[in-house]
Amino acid sequence: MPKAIVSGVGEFHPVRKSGQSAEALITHAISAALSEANLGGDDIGAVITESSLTSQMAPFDRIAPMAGLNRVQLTLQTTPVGAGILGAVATAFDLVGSGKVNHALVYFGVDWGTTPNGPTGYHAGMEAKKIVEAPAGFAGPPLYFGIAARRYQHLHGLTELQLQDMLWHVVEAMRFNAQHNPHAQKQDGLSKEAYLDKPMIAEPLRSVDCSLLSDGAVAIVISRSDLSKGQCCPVELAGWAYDYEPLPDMDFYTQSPWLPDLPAARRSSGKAFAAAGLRPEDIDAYQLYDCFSIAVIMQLEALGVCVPGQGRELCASGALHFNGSVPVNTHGGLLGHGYLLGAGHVVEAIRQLRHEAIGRQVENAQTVFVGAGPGRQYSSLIFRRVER
Amino acid sequence: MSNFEVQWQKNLEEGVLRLPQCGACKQWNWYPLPVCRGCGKTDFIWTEIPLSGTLFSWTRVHRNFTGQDMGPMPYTVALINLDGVPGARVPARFMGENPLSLQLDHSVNLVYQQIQGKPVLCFNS
Repeated sequence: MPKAIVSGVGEFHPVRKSGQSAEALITHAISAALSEANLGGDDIGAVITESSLTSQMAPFDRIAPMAGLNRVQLTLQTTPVGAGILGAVATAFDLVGSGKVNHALVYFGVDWGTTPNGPTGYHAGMEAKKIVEAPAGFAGPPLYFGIAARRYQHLHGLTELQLQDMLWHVVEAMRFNAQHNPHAQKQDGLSKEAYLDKPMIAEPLRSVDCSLLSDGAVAIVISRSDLSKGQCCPVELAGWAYDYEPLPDMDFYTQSPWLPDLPAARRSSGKAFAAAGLRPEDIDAYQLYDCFSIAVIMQLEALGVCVPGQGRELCASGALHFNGSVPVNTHGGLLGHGYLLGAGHVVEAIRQLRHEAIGRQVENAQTVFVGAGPGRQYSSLIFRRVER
Repeated sequence: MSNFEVQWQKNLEEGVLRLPQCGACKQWNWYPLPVCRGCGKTDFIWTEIPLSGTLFSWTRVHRNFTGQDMGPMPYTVALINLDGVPGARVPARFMGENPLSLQLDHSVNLVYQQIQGKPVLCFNS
Protein backbone atom coordinates (compact mmCIF):
# COMPACT_ATOMS: atom_id res chain seq x y z
CA MET A 1 0.00 0.00 0.00
CA PRO A 2 1.35 3.46 -0.82
CA LYS A 3 1.82 5.86 2.04
CA ALA A 4 0.05 9.24 2.00
CA ILE A 5 1.64 12.41 3.33
CA VAL A 6 1.05 16.15 3.25
CA SER A 7 3.18 17.51 0.40
CA GLY A 8 1.99 21.11 0.27
CA VAL A 9 0.02 23.69 2.22
CA GLY A 10 -1.23 27.08 1.06
CA GLU A 11 -3.05 29.79 2.94
CA PHE A 12 -4.69 33.12 2.59
CA HIS A 13 -4.26 34.13 6.22
CA PRO A 14 -7.51 35.18 7.89
CA VAL A 15 -8.40 38.87 8.01
CA ARG A 16 -11.56 40.60 9.18
CA LYS A 17 -12.30 41.93 5.68
CA SER A 18 -10.28 41.12 2.58
CA GLY A 19 -12.51 42.83 0.05
CA GLN A 20 -12.14 39.68 -2.05
CA SER A 21 -14.39 36.72 -2.76
CA ALA A 22 -13.88 33.32 -1.15
CA GLU A 23 -13.13 32.00 -4.65
CA ALA A 24 -10.26 34.43 -5.12
CA LEU A 25 -8.82 33.58 -1.70
CA ILE A 26 -9.11 29.85 -2.39
CA THR A 27 -7.43 30.17 -5.80
CA HIS A 28 -4.56 31.99 -4.11
CA ALA A 29 -4.26 29.23 -1.46
CA ILE A 30 -4.33 26.43 -4.08
CA SER A 31 -1.58 28.12 -6.06
CA ALA A 32 0.55 28.39 -2.91
CA ALA A 33 -0.09 24.75 -1.94
CA LEU A 34 0.78 23.45 -5.43
CA SER A 35 3.91 25.57 -5.44
CA GLU A 36 5.03 24.19 -2.07
CA ALA A 37 4.32 20.64 -3.30
CA ASN A 38 6.27 21.33 -6.53
CA LEU A 39 3.26 20.16 -8.53
CA GLY A 40 1.07 21.63 -11.26
CA GLY A 41 -2.71 21.67 -11.43
CA ASP A 42 -2.57 18.79 -13.92
CA ASP A 43 -1.02 16.52 -11.27
CA ILE A 44 -4.11 16.64 -9.04
CA GLY A 45 -6.24 13.51 -9.43
CA ALA A 46 -8.91 14.14 -6.80
CA VAL A 47 -10.49 17.17 -5.15
CA ILE A 48 -12.35 16.80 -1.86
CA THR A 49 -14.29 19.59 -0.15
CA GLU A 50 -16.89 20.03 2.60
CA SER A 51 -20.38 20.04 1.15
CA SER A 52 -22.58 22.84 2.41
CA LEU A 53 -20.64 26.12 2.32
CA THR A 54 -18.10 25.25 -0.36
CA SER A 55 -20.74 24.12 -2.83
CA GLN A 56 -22.28 27.59 -2.49
CA MET A 57 -19.23 29.84 -2.12
CA ALA A 58 -16.58 28.07 -4.19
CA PRO A 59 -17.92 25.14 -6.23
CA PHE A 60 -15.37 23.00 -8.08
CA ASP A 61 -16.69 23.91 -11.55
CA ARG A 62 -15.67 27.53 -10.97
CA ILE A 63 -12.46 26.84 -9.04
CA ALA A 64 -11.10 24.36 -11.64
CA PRO A 65 -10.46 26.90 -14.44
CA MET A 66 -9.11 29.51 -12.04
CA ALA A 67 -6.71 27.10 -10.32
CA GLY A 68 -5.72 25.17 -13.47
CA LEU A 69 -7.19 21.86 -12.33
CA ASN A 70 -7.66 20.12 -15.69
CA ARG A 71 -7.17 16.40 -15.04
CA VAL A 72 -9.16 15.63 -11.94
CA GLN A 73 -10.69 12.14 -12.07
CA LEU A 74 -12.74 12.34 -8.91
CA THR A 75 -14.49 15.05 -6.90
CA LEU A 76 -16.03 14.31 -3.51
CA GLN A 77 -18.00 16.32 -0.99
CA THR A 78 -18.08 15.38 2.66
CA THR A 79 -20.43 16.21 5.54
CA PRO A 80 -21.17 19.92 6.20
CA VAL A 81 -18.87 22.48 7.83
CA GLY A 82 -16.09 21.81 10.38
CA ALA A 83 -16.41 18.03 10.67
CA GLY A 84 -16.57 17.93 6.87
CA ILE A 85 -13.45 20.04 6.33
CA LEU A 86 -11.53 17.61 8.52
CA GLY A 87 -13.30 14.69 6.86
CA ALA A 88 -12.20 16.00 3.45
CA VAL A 89 -8.55 16.03 4.54
CA ALA A 90 -8.85 12.51 5.96
CA THR A 91 -10.60 11.26 2.82
CA ALA A 92 -7.77 12.70 0.71
CA PHE A 93 -5.33 10.62 2.79
CA ASP A 94 -7.53 7.54 2.30
CA LEU A 95 -7.80 8.03 -1.49
CA VAL A 96 -4.05 8.50 -1.93
CA GLY A 97 -3.25 5.76 0.58
CA SER A 98 -5.42 3.28 -1.29
CA GLY A 99 -3.62 4.02 -4.56
CA LYS A 100 -6.70 5.52 -6.22
CA VAL A 101 -4.88 8.76 -7.08
CA ASN A 102 -1.32 10.03 -6.71
CA HIS A 103 -2.13 13.53 -5.51
CA ALA A 104 -5.33 14.86 -3.93
CA LEU A 105 -6.32 18.43 -3.14
CA VAL A 106 -8.52 19.75 -0.34
CA TYR A 107 -9.59 23.38 -0.28
CA PHE A 108 -11.75 25.55 1.93
CA GLY A 109 -12.36 29.27 2.05
CA VAL A 110 -14.83 31.66 3.55
CA ASP A 111 -15.73 35.32 3.14
CA TRP A 112 -17.96 35.68 6.18
CA GLY A 113 -15.85 38.65 7.22
CA THR A 114 -17.08 40.55 4.17
CA THR A 115 -20.52 39.08 3.44
CA PRO A 116 -23.48 39.48 5.81
CA ASN A 117 -25.33 36.65 7.62
CA GLY A 118 -22.40 34.29 8.13
CA PRO A 119 -22.90 31.55 10.73
CA THR A 120 -26.15 33.06 12.05
CA GLY A 121 -27.66 32.96 8.57
CA TYR A 122 -26.47 29.38 8.10
CA HIS A 123 -28.42 28.23 11.17
CA ALA A 124 -31.41 30.53 10.63
CA GLY A 125 -32.42 28.66 7.48
CA MET A 126 -33.24 25.44 9.34
CA GLU A 127 -36.97 24.68 9.63
CA ALA A 128 -37.51 24.36 13.40
CA LYS A 129 -35.30 27.36 14.05
CA LYS A 130 -37.47 29.49 11.78
CA ILE A 131 -40.83 28.19 13.00
CA VAL A 132 -40.36 27.58 16.74
CA GLU A 133 -37.13 29.09 17.98
CA ALA A 134 -36.58 32.53 16.41
CA PRO A 135 -40.12 33.82 17.19
CA ALA A 136 -39.44 33.01 20.87
CA GLY A 137 -36.18 34.97 20.76
CA PHE A 138 -33.98 31.89 20.54
CA ALA A 139 -31.62 32.39 17.59
CA GLY A 140 -27.90 32.50 16.88
CA PRO A 141 -25.07 30.14 17.80
CA PRO A 142 -24.03 32.19 20.88
CA LEU A 143 -27.35 31.21 22.50
CA TYR A 144 -26.76 27.51 21.84
CA PHE A 145 -23.46 27.62 23.67
CA GLY A 146 -24.66 30.09 26.32
CA ILE A 147 -27.35 27.55 27.22
CA ALA A 148 -24.76 24.74 27.24
CA ALA A 149 -22.44 26.78 29.49
CA ARG A 150 -25.24 27.45 31.98
CA ARG A 151 -26.15 23.75 32.04
CA TYR A 152 -22.47 22.85 32.51
CA GLN A 153 -22.30 25.24 35.47
CA HIS A 154 -25.34 23.56 37.02
CA LEU A 155 -24.06 20.00 36.53
CA HIS A 156 -20.67 20.73 38.02
CA GLY A 157 -21.80 23.11 40.76
CA LEU A 158 -19.79 26.14 39.66
CA THR A 159 -20.51 29.57 41.10
CA GLU A 160 -21.04 32.54 38.75
CA LEU A 161 -17.48 33.66 39.44
CA GLN A 162 -16.02 30.20 38.84
CA LEU A 163 -17.86 29.95 35.51
CA GLN A 164 -16.65 33.39 34.50
CA ASP A 165 -13.10 32.55 35.51
CA MET A 166 -13.11 29.29 33.54
CA LEU A 167 -14.32 30.98 30.36
CA TRP A 168 -11.77 33.76 30.71
CA HIS A 169 -8.94 31.24 31.08
CA VAL A 170 -9.94 29.62 27.77
CA VAL A 171 -10.13 32.93 25.92
CA GLU A 172 -6.92 34.15 27.54
CA ALA A 173 -5.07 31.03 26.34
CA MET A 174 -6.35 31.34 22.76
CA ARG A 175 -5.39 35.02 22.70
CA PHE A 176 -1.97 34.28 24.24
CA ASN A 177 -1.29 31.74 21.49
CA ALA A 178 -2.57 34.15 18.83
CA GLN A 179 -0.23 36.82 20.19
CA HIS A 180 2.69 34.51 19.31
CA ASN A 181 1.41 33.90 15.77
CA PRO A 182 2.11 36.79 13.39
CA HIS A 183 -0.71 35.59 11.09
CA ALA A 184 -3.44 35.68 13.75
CA GLN A 185 -6.18 38.30 13.54
CA LYS A 186 -5.84 39.13 17.24
CA GLN A 187 -2.36 40.28 18.20
CA ASP A 188 -3.10 41.44 21.74
CA GLY A 189 -3.60 39.36 24.87
CA LEU A 190 -6.63 39.62 27.11
CA SER A 191 -6.37 40.46 30.83
CA LYS A 192 -9.16 39.48 33.20
CA GLU A 193 -10.10 43.15 33.56
CA ALA A 194 -10.28 43.63 29.80
CA TYR A 195 -12.36 40.44 29.51
CA LEU A 196 -14.90 41.66 32.06
CA ASP A 197 -15.22 44.95 30.16
CA LYS A 198 -16.30 43.17 26.96
CA PRO A 199 -20.00 43.28 26.13
CA MET A 200 -22.22 40.30 26.87
CA ILE A 201 -23.75 38.57 23.84
CA ALA A 202 -25.65 35.64 25.36
CA GLU A 203 -24.81 35.13 29.03
CA PRO A 204 -22.41 33.91 30.20
CA LEU A 205 -20.72 34.45 26.81
CA ARG A 206 -19.17 37.83 26.00
CA SER A 207 -18.10 39.06 22.58
CA VAL A 208 -14.60 37.62 23.07
CA ASP A 209 -16.03 34.18 24.00
CA CYS A 210 -17.41 34.01 20.44
CA SER A 211 -15.55 33.12 17.28
CA LEU A 212 -14.06 35.89 15.18
CA LEU A 213 -15.46 36.58 11.72
CA SER A 214 -13.00 36.23 8.88
CA ASP A 215 -12.14 36.06 5.24
CA GLY A 216 -9.51 33.43 4.52
CA ALA A 217 -8.67 30.22 2.72
CA VAL A 218 -6.65 27.04 2.99
CA ALA A 219 -5.49 24.43 0.48
CA ILE A 220 -3.72 21.18 1.28
CA VAL A 221 -2.13 18.70 -1.12
CA ILE A 222 -1.86 15.06 -0.08
CA SER A 223 0.58 12.93 -2.10
CA ARG A 224 1.94 9.41 -2.30
CA SER A 225 5.15 9.65 -0.32
CA ASP A 226 7.16 7.97 -3.12
CA LEU A 227 5.85 10.52 -5.65
CA SER A 228 5.99 13.59 -3.41
CA LYS A 229 8.23 16.41 -4.60
CA GLY A 230 7.57 18.56 -1.54
CA GLN A 231 10.62 19.74 0.39
CA CYS A 232 8.96 20.08 3.80
CA CYS A 233 9.08 17.41 6.48
CA PRO A 234 6.32 14.89 5.70
CA VAL A 235 3.27 14.61 7.92
CA GLU A 236 1.04 11.52 7.91
CA LEU A 237 -2.40 10.73 9.29
CA ALA A 238 -1.96 8.22 12.10
CA GLY A 239 -5.68 7.66 12.56
CA TRP A 240 -9.05 9.30 12.10
CA ALA A 241 -12.74 8.76 12.70
CA TYR A 242 -16.09 10.46 12.21
CA ASP A 243 -19.16 9.98 14.36
CA TYR A 244 -22.58 11.59 14.75
CA GLU A 245 -25.92 11.43 16.51
CA PRO A 246 -28.98 10.33 14.55
CA LEU A 247 -30.48 13.79 15.07
CA PRO A 248 -31.21 16.43 12.43
CA ASP A 249 -28.85 19.40 12.55
CA MET A 250 -31.78 21.63 13.48
CA ASP A 251 -32.41 19.57 16.65
CA PHE A 252 -29.03 19.26 18.32
CA TYR A 253 -28.55 22.49 20.28
CA THR A 254 -32.06 22.48 21.73
CA GLN A 255 -33.13 18.82 21.74
CA SER A 256 -29.97 16.78 22.38
CA PRO A 257 -30.57 14.66 25.50
CA TRP A 258 -26.85 14.75 26.26
CA LEU A 259 -26.11 18.49 26.37
CA PRO A 260 -23.61 19.76 27.39
CA ASP A 261 -21.88 16.44 26.68
CA LEU A 262 -20.70 15.72 23.14
CA PRO A 263 -21.09 11.96 22.65
CA ALA A 264 -20.16 12.12 18.96
CA ALA A 265 -16.85 13.75 19.93
CA ARG A 266 -16.37 11.14 22.66
CA ARG A 267 -16.89 8.24 20.23
CA SER A 268 -15.03 9.64 17.22
CA SER A 269 -11.97 10.57 19.28
CA GLY A 270 -11.99 7.15 20.96
CA LYS A 271 -11.96 5.46 17.57
CA ALA A 272 -9.24 7.78 16.24
CA PHE A 273 -7.02 7.14 19.28
CA ALA A 274 -7.52 3.39 18.84
CA ALA A 275 -6.71 3.58 15.11
CA ALA A 276 -3.51 5.50 15.86
CA GLY A 277 -2.57 3.28 18.79
CA LEU A 278 -2.31 6.36 21.00
CA ARG A 279 -3.91 7.72 24.17
CA PRO A 280 -4.87 11.31 24.97
CA GLU A 281 -1.74 11.77 27.12
CA ASP A 282 0.46 10.86 24.12
CA ILE A 283 -0.70 13.89 22.11
CA ASP A 284 1.67 16.86 21.94
CA ALA A 285 -0.96 19.47 20.95
CA TYR A 286 -4.70 19.69 20.36
CA GLN A 287 -6.40 21.85 17.73
CA LEU A 288 -10.08 21.98 18.74
CA TYR A 289 -13.02 23.78 17.14
CA ASP A 290 -13.32 26.73 19.52
CA CYS A 291 -16.42 28.41 18.09
CA PHE A 292 -17.09 29.47 21.70
CA SER A 293 -14.90 29.35 24.79
CA ILE A 294 -17.14 26.78 26.50
CA ALA A 295 -16.82 24.48 23.46
CA VAL A 296 -13.13 23.97 24.31
CA ILE A 297 -14.03 22.71 27.78
CA MET A 298 -16.77 20.46 26.39
CA GLN A 299 -14.32 18.92 23.91
CA LEU A 300 -11.41 18.46 26.34
CA GLU A 301 -13.78 16.50 28.57
CA ALA A 302 -15.39 14.51 25.74
CA LEU A 303 -11.96 13.58 24.35
CA GLY A 304 -10.78 12.27 27.70
CA VAL A 305 -8.05 14.88 28.10
CA CYS A 306 -9.58 15.51 31.52
CA VAL A 307 -12.57 14.05 33.32
CA PRO A 308 -15.92 15.87 33.15
CA GLY A 309 -15.90 18.81 35.53
CA GLN A 310 -12.12 19.17 35.60
CA GLY A 311 -11.83 21.44 32.56
CA ARG A 312 -11.82 24.46 34.84
CA GLU A 313 -8.76 23.38 36.81
CA LEU A 314 -6.94 22.34 33.64
CA CYS A 315 -7.46 25.75 32.01
CA ALA A 316 -6.62 27.68 35.16
CA SER A 317 -3.21 25.96 35.29
CA GLY A 318 -2.18 27.59 32.01
CA ALA A 319 -2.09 24.19 30.33
CA LEU A 320 -3.68 25.44 27.10
CA HIS A 321 -0.83 27.85 26.28
CA PHE A 322 1.41 26.67 23.44
CA ASN A 323 4.14 26.16 26.04
CA GLY A 324 1.77 24.59 28.59
CA SER A 325 1.16 20.95 29.50
CA VAL A 326 -1.78 20.45 27.07
CA PRO A 327 -1.29 22.98 24.27
CA VAL A 328 -4.62 23.81 22.59
CA ASN A 329 -5.07 25.86 19.42
CA THR A 330 -1.46 26.90 19.21
CA HIS A 331 -2.27 29.27 16.32
CA GLY A 332 -4.93 31.05 18.38
CA GLY A 333 -7.94 29.12 17.11
CA LEU A 334 -11.23 30.58 15.99
CA LEU A 335 -11.11 32.96 18.97
CA GLY A 336 -7.70 34.44 18.19
CA HIS A 337 -6.43 33.37 14.77
CA GLY A 338 -9.54 33.51 12.56
CA TYR A 339 -12.78 31.77 11.68
CA LEU A 340 -11.75 29.26 9.03
CA LEU A 341 -14.07 26.60 10.53
CA GLY A 342 -11.30 24.14 11.36
CA ALA A 343 -9.25 24.47 8.16
CA GLY A 344 -6.80 26.69 10.03
CA HIS A 345 -6.60 24.07 12.78
CA VAL A 346 -5.46 21.43 10.26
CA VAL A 347 -2.81 23.74 8.82
CA GLU A 348 -1.54 24.52 12.31
CA ALA A 349 -1.22 20.81 13.10
CA ILE A 350 0.91 20.40 9.96
CA ARG A 351 3.09 23.42 10.78
CA GLN A 352 3.63 22.20 14.35
CA LEU A 353 4.67 18.75 13.10
CA ARG A 354 7.02 20.23 10.51
CA HIS A 355 8.50 22.28 13.39
CA GLU A 356 7.93 25.49 11.48
CA ALA A 357 5.48 27.17 13.90
CA ILE A 358 7.90 29.99 14.61
CA GLY A 359 7.22 31.84 17.85
CA ARG A 360 4.70 29.27 19.10
CA GLN A 361 6.37 25.92 18.39
CA VAL A 362 5.49 23.07 20.74
CA GLU A 363 8.85 21.57 21.58
CA ASN A 364 9.61 18.44 19.54
CA ALA A 365 5.94 17.95 18.53
CA GLN A 366 5.41 14.42 17.14
CA THR A 367 1.62 13.96 17.23
CA VAL A 368 -1.20 16.52 16.99
CA PHE A 369 -4.92 15.91 17.41
CA VAL A 370 -7.40 17.98 15.38
CA GLY A 371 -11.12 17.87 16.17
CA ALA A 372 -14.12 19.72 14.76
CA GLY A 373 -17.86 19.69 14.70
CA PRO A 374 -18.81 20.12 18.30
CA GLY A 375 -22.47 19.18 18.17
CA ARG A 376 -24.37 16.56 16.23
CA GLN A 377 -21.23 15.32 14.52
CA TYR A 378 -17.47 15.25 15.08
CA SER A 379 -14.33 14.39 13.12
CA SER A 380 -11.13 13.43 14.95
CA LEU A 381 -7.81 13.40 13.08
CA ILE A 382 -4.44 12.48 14.59
CA PHE A 383 -1.45 13.67 12.57
CA ARG A 384 2.10 12.38 13.02
CA ARG A 385 5.50 13.70 11.98
CA VAL A 386 7.47 11.39 9.66
CA GLU A 387 11.21 11.71 10.22
CA ARG A 388 13.28 11.60 7.03
CA MET B 1 -46.63 26.87 4.64
CA SER B 2 -45.45 23.43 5.80
CA ASN B 3 -47.76 21.43 8.07
CA PHE B 4 -45.21 21.99 10.87
CA GLU B 5 -45.61 25.73 10.48
CA VAL B 6 -49.42 25.52 10.23
CA GLN B 7 -49.68 23.40 13.38
CA TRP B 8 -47.28 25.59 15.37
CA GLN B 9 -49.19 28.72 14.34
CA LYS B 10 -52.38 27.05 15.61
CA ASN B 11 -50.68 26.51 18.97
CA LEU B 12 -49.83 30.19 19.19
CA GLU B 13 -53.29 31.34 18.09
CA GLU B 14 -55.25 28.97 20.36
CA GLY B 15 -52.94 29.28 23.38
CA VAL B 16 -52.35 25.54 23.63
CA LEU B 17 -49.39 23.20 23.19
CA ARG B 18 -49.85 20.32 20.75
CA LEU B 19 -46.90 18.21 19.58
CA PRO B 20 -46.84 15.59 16.83
CA GLN B 21 -47.47 12.03 17.94
CA CYS B 22 -47.39 9.06 15.58
CA GLY B 23 -50.91 7.85 14.93
CA ALA B 24 -49.70 4.25 14.64
CA CYS B 25 -47.10 3.67 17.38
CA LYS B 26 -47.84 6.75 19.53
CA GLN B 27 -44.20 7.86 19.58
CA TRP B 28 -43.69 11.60 19.93
CA ASN B 29 -41.63 13.14 17.12
CA TRP B 30 -40.12 16.47 18.17
CA TYR B 31 -38.94 18.27 16.20
CA PRO B 32 -41.19 16.85 13.49
CA LEU B 33 -39.88 14.81 10.58
CA PRO B 34 -42.07 13.44 7.77
CA VAL B 35 -41.58 9.80 8.80
CA CYS B 36 -42.00 8.46 12.36
CA ARG B 37 -38.68 7.71 14.08
CA GLY B 38 -40.32 4.77 15.86
CA CYS B 39 -42.24 2.85 13.21
CA GLY B 40 -41.76 4.51 9.84
CA LYS B 41 -45.41 5.52 9.41
CA THR B 42 -46.28 8.98 8.16
CA ASP B 43 -49.53 9.90 9.95
CA PHE B 44 -49.15 12.22 12.89
CA ILE B 45 -51.71 13.58 15.34
CA TRP B 46 -50.84 16.89 16.94
CA THR B 47 -51.82 16.00 20.51
CA GLU B 48 -52.40 18.43 23.34
CA ILE B 49 -50.05 18.32 26.35
CA PRO B 50 -49.96 20.34 29.58
CA LEU B 51 -48.36 23.78 29.55
CA SER B 52 -45.77 22.76 32.12
CA GLY B 53 -42.23 21.49 32.35
CA THR B 54 -38.87 21.88 34.03
CA LEU B 55 -36.14 24.42 33.39
CA PHE B 56 -33.29 22.88 31.38
CA SER B 57 -31.16 26.02 30.98
CA TRP B 58 -31.38 29.72 30.17
CA THR B 59 -29.43 32.64 28.75
CA ARG B 60 -29.91 36.39 28.99
CA VAL B 61 -29.58 37.72 25.46
CA HIS B 62 -27.87 41.05 24.85
CA ARG B 63 -27.65 40.86 21.07
CA ASN B 64 -30.75 40.00 19.11
CA PHE B 65 -29.97 37.55 16.29
CA THR B 66 -33.61 36.78 15.40
CA GLY B 67 -34.11 39.51 12.82
CA GLN B 68 -37.42 40.21 14.60
CA ASP B 69 -38.46 42.78 17.20
CA MET B 70 -38.00 41.13 20.59
CA GLY B 71 -38.87 44.18 22.69
CA PRO B 72 -36.56 45.67 25.33
CA MET B 73 -33.01 44.28 25.54
CA PRO B 74 -31.61 42.32 27.19
CA TYR B 75 -34.18 39.55 27.49
CA THR B 76 -33.98 36.06 28.96
CA VAL B 77 -34.90 32.94 27.03
CA ALA B 78 -34.82 29.38 28.35
CA LEU B 79 -35.21 25.82 27.16
CA ILE B 80 -38.00 23.95 28.94
CA ASN B 81 -38.21 20.15 29.22
CA LEU B 82 -41.91 19.47 28.62
CA ASP B 83 -43.76 17.38 31.18
CA GLY B 84 -46.04 15.80 28.57
CA VAL B 85 -43.36 14.58 26.15
CA PRO B 86 -40.21 13.05 27.64
CA GLY B 87 -37.11 14.49 25.98
CA ALA B 88 -38.89 17.30 24.09
CA ARG B 89 -37.85 20.89 24.74
CA VAL B 90 -39.28 24.25 23.70
CA PRO B 91 -37.83 27.74 24.04
CA ALA B 92 -39.74 30.10 26.34
CA ARG B 93 -39.23 33.67 27.50
CA PHE B 94 -38.66 34.39 31.20
CA MET B 95 -40.89 37.27 32.33
CA GLY B 96 -39.39 37.74 35.79
CA GLU B 97 -36.77 40.27 36.80
CA ASN B 98 -33.69 38.32 37.78
CA PRO B 99 -32.77 35.15 35.88
CA LEU B 100 -29.92 34.46 38.31
CA SER B 101 -32.59 33.45 40.82
CA LEU B 102 -33.78 30.65 38.48
CA GLN B 103 -33.14 27.07 39.55
CA LEU B 104 -32.41 24.54 36.82
CA ASP B 105 -34.52 21.37 36.82
CA HIS B 106 -37.27 23.08 38.83
CA SER B 107 -40.88 23.08 37.63
CA VAL B 108 -42.25 25.92 35.52
CA ASN B 109 -45.71 26.74 34.21
CA LEU B 110 -45.92 28.02 30.66
CA VAL B 111 -48.30 30.73 29.46
CA TYR B 112 -48.66 32.58 26.19
CA GLN B 113 -48.04 36.30 26.49
CA GLN B 114 -48.06 39.01 23.88
CA ILE B 115 -44.55 40.27 23.07
CA GLN B 116 -44.44 43.06 20.50
CA GLY B 117 -47.97 42.07 19.47
CA LYS B 118 -47.29 38.35 18.99
CA PRO B 119 -48.06 35.40 21.28
CA VAL B 120 -44.91 33.84 22.73
CA LEU B 121 -44.48 30.96 25.21
CA CYS B 122 -43.39 32.46 28.53
CA PHE B 123 -42.83 31.47 32.14
CA ASN B 124 -42.44 33.33 35.39
CA SER B 125 -40.38 31.19 37.75
